[in-house]
Amino acid sequence: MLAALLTAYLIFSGGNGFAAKMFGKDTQTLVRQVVSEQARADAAVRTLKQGQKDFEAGAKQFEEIAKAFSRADEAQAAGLDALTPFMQRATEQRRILQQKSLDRMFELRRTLTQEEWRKVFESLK
Amino acid sequence: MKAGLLRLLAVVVWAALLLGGALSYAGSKERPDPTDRLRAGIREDVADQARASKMLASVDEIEAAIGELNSLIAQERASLAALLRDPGSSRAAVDASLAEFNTARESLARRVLASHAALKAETTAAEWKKLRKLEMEMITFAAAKSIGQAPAGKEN
Repeated sequence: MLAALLTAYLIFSGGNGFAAKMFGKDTQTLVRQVVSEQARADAAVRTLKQGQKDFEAGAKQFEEIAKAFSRADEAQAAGLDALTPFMQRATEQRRILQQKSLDRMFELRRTLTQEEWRKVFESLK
Repeated sequence: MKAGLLRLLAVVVWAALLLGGALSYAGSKERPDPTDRLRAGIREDVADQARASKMLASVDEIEAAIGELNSLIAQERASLAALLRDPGSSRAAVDASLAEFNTARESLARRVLASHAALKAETTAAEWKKLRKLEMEMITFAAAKSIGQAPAGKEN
């Protein structure tokens, strides 16, 4: 659980902290407010919903790694060699989620005007 | 305990996802720091001073690495915010920045895992059963604090 928790907070407090906020329902509401053109607003919300879906699926994957790590770590005999594969899986999962989040962020940025992007991004602070 | 930690993990994830750090950390000053509780647990439960010293050194290393991780995360946040805010920034520039931070973060995470394993290696099975709970609480507390959540009630 230790490595899982560490990686968890690295996922959700680092670069993907933006993703966590961006793909929340508040951002979908905000996009509806700042994008007056219906078709672009719909496209942007679709992107956000897909980002949310990716994010939740990533969190689920991560929870499974965390559970497996926790089970293995209970045994005092489970040393570095036994635990390292869990961290590697978590790291890999984090990188996948990171890339998916960036794909969606750039997709959203392409859909919005510069001014709309600025407003949405500022709300994530 | 395992169920409790998983619940906390879920809370941390969902709080970050849904609240965006709206909850602020407000650690209790009445309770000792979880790291200090782990140190006290080692001193109390491990009679062999040589092994206890090695375990305490591992705790120091974990604490130091977590401190470095938090600094790195702050740098990454600032760097990515600047890049992502700029509508002209390229994906390649963001990827390059993330790759740099990922390398540093993964190195620190390996350090923590190695120290965790070193701590375990010095314990007996019975000691580990007691100390594991304290170590997890230390990490949970640090993780939650790092992203601005208060792990109140999980310190006990």
